[in-house]
Amino acid sequence: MTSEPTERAMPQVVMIIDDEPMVTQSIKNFLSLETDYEIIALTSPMAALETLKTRQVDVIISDYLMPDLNGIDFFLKAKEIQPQATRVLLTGYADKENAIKAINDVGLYQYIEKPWENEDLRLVLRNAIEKRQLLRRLEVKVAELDRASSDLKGLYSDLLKAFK
Amino acid sequence: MNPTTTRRPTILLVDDDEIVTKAIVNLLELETDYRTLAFQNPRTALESARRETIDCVISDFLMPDMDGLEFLREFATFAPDVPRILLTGYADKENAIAAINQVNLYQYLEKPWDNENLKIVLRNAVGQRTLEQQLSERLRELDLALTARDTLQHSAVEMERELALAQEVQQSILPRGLVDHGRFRFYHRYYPTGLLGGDYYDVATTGPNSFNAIVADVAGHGVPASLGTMLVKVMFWEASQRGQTSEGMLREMNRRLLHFMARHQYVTAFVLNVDGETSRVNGASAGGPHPVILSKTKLRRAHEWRLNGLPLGALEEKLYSTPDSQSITLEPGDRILMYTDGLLDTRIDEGESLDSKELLPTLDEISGLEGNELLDRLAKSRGIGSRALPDDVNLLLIDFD
Repeated sequence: MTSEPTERAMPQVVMIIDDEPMVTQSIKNFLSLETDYEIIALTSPMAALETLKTRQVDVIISDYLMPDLNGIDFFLKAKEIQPQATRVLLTGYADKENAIKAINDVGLYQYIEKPWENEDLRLVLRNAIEKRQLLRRLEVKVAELDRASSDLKGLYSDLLKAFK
Repeated sequence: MNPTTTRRPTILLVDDDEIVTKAIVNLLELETDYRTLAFQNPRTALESARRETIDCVISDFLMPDMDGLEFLREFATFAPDVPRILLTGYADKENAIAAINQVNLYQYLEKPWDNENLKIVLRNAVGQRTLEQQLSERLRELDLALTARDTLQHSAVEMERELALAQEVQQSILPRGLVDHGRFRFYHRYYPTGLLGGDYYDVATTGPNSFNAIVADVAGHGVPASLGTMLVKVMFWEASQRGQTSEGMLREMNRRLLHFMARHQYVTAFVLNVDGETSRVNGASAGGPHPVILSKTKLRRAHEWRLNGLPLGALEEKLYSTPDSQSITLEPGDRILMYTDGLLDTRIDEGESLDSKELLPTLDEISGLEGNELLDRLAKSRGIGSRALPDDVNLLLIDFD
């Protein structure tokens, strides 16, 4: 969708947390096959928070219903550690309402209802990652623009001085 | 700043089922600020779409006339950057998914869709498009800025080169060195400000023991003033060759400068006709600083040669009265000091300047020194060399043996 090729110095890192190992494995397998993202699959939100302190990730997908910590509370904490990571919540039909209520608090990019469709997940991830790349490039360009502007201002005043 | 940021985002919706379109339109109108264009017929939708600015398009998959993928593909040919969303039923989901990559969907939504989910997906899709547009904008702006900067840099380099050339030319206008002539010896100092200026001095021999001398200042700075000095030089030399008198030279210069210089430009000057055979000096003023005569034999050694005269190039001929001129006789050992008024400036902001008579006490003190030393001491007494100068300073000392 973007007209320019996306610059990628490093592979995108996606973190998946679900207390059911079947779920994390299945997602990890699917994504490894269909994408070249680096996948970190965990079954404990506490362990995930620890990992987030040392490893930068681009997207975090988390289940809602987990014994230690529910997905929303997990995301609230994750947001403090890495606010720029994109957050996607996996919800069951029953707890969807909670998810929806907390969307704005947590700053969810999107929620995906279980059972999810793999294709859907892939698209959501792709869009989330593309958004982050766009934001990064925008930041870079704005900074370059700033620099070019100040160069210009400097040049103008130098030139004016010579002709005073 | 950017009109699209204040415009309501427009969603194009196509579904042959009226219930679907009504439901989605109601949802979006109630809960968002999107503008929704809803169609049941994909062909009509395409026609309308060509005339509108769409921010996101949602289409049903299974439709009688044209299926959703075909519609979206068609739409993509004239609006490729608009995010495309497909609505699929449970039954045709597999077909839809299989064909997804043909159309490069932003996302697909399964019916029955979840209202919250739909809003989120639209929000992200529209947001993405805005981001992409902003990025394009910035890239465009950056391109312009970088091009402008490069152009300016080239211009700056060019201009520096031209200024350097101009300075070379200006330097070449000034005498390279003044050779002793007959019974006269010359000393000179030049203290530049580093910018192009309008100072000019010169000595033109008119005989084995005679010469003309001029110290002039073209008003202003920069290229215009510098060009003015060239004019003055040419006229000075040409008039000297013809044996023109001091006041005759000034009168001619005034006439010609009126012609050749800009209205606001003018020149101040002092001209000497010196004849070593007769020891006579004829001086004429065009408002330039008063030369100082250092006399060995008179009681008061240093005294100003005060003559009145109007600046050149300022008044038309009938208003320009003949400049004052005076002939004096030199005694052996006499010295004439000429200078540009930069010597009299006291501060960098050109707020004040001395009256030339305030130079006299210092000149009395140093009047017996050797020429070069005299000029150096004079400059030092005015703080030249230890402060920034508002204007170029030229000093010319003529010794008569």
